[in-house]
Amino acid sequence: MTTLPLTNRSPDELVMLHDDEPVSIGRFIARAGMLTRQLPEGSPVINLCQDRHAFSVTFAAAIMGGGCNLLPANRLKATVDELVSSFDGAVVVADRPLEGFTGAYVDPTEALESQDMDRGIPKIPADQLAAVVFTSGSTGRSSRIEKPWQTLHDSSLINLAQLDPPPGARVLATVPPQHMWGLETSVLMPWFGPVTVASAHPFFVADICRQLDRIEHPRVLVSTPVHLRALVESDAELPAIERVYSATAPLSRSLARDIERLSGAKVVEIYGCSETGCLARRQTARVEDWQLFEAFELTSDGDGTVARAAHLPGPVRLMDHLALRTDARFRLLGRQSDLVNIAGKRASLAELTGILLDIPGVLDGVIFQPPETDDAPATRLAALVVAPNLEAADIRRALGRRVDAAFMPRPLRLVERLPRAETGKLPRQSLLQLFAQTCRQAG
Amino acid sequence: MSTQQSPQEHELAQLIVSSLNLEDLSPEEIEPEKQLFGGEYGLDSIDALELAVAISKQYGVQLKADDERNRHAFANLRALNEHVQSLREQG
Repeated sequence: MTTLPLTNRSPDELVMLHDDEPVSIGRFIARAGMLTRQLPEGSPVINLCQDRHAFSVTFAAAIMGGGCNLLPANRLKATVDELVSSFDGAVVVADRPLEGFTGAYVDPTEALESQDMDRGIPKIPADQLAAVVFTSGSTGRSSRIEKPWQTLHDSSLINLAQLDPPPGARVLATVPPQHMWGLETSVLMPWFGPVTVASAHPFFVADICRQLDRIEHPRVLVSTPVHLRALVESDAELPAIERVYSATAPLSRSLARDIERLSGAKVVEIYGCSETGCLARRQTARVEDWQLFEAFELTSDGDGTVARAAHLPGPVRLMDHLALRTDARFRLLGRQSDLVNIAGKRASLAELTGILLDIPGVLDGVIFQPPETDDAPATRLAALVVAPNLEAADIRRALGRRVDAAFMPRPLRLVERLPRAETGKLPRQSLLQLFAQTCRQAG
Repeated sequence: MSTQQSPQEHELAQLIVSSLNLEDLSPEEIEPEKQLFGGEYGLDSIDALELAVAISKQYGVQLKADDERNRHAFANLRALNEHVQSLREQG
């Protein structure tokens, strides 16, 4: 049986800053080991811990106990109940009470406060399932992505080589640890390279600035275009930052330049998805081409682009249109038209439009992603609706009952008719023209 | 408690509608004690972040999420207005 270490760092190295407490690898492993003993052997663990330190210890404990981490797309009671019933022997670990959830759960607090030191590095079977990541869909149905330990182990080494954080970096993340971007950078990277992550999860600009001030140089910020834009718009006074990593949504060149100017950081944008993990990088302020990580290979066929890598369980079809320029460089041409990714959640536009058309009184309509400009990044979907006897508010209310808030179209405009071609198709060009017209009227 | 917006609440409601491009919602339609985020207005955490930026520009106060009191501040229009006003007084 091939095994791979849980971490390749030594017991005295710093893995986390839990508030102000420095946590060494040895202490971290002792805490995870103590929690492992509280869990039934080999059981799947529904890891709902919110604090990054609690989440990371639980993540390690599940793996060390021979089980896997189940990472749901949200913490809603219905989601948790469904996981509990569909995974035999699944145990919930949560660091704070869950609203509405009445089942049993393990509280990791005692293990998290342990002052023991464990100098042995656990060996994990390479093919052990370590995590199952669930991504949400437009209506709550989710897809599951399996991550064997070898995948997480190898991709962490690849990410360290490609992201190349400054040695001794202190990492602050504005993203939660549960989703792939936060998991790879703020949980796993510090297990394999000379970086220390802060447990804080700052959200508002004032929180981000305060937490950045608290950590030492060289500072690394792991974030998203949404948070970075808020920093620029607030004229936040940022301390010197060495490196900023951004992912989850397209970063505009002007925003990348603004952040570089404000913080002195090199801003590196990362491209990837939950299935592949991080896949390519670019310094957005300077270049347009993406540099593919060496471990990956991309091939194009008539339907799009497929990514392959030795450490992935199988080939992955990407959600975007890519133009391959060389084996290692590509440009992103945009999303495949039907799939959208907003606030880390995925949806199908066809499915959302279907929900819109189901509303009584709606005669025709479409939900779509407006084009992105530097001034107005496309963070929201838009809708044009034909419904002579309804108010926009009625439609919004009806949609709100079935659609996640992230996908609520905004603006939603009533029109007399949609510019359908004779075949019934809706040419994007005509759609955008009509949309621009309604924008001018509204403005 | 009144379900009518006070003048201060109305001003904040106008800022919410304009800063989040809620073109099909009028400021008057935001009920002071109705859940602002995650409810029927369709506002989520990204809106909270954008709204915090708009509030800092208009009122010169910084919202934070890292204490319990501040988390309640986003419950509804009335709570948010009270929070913003109390930050201004501390200012």
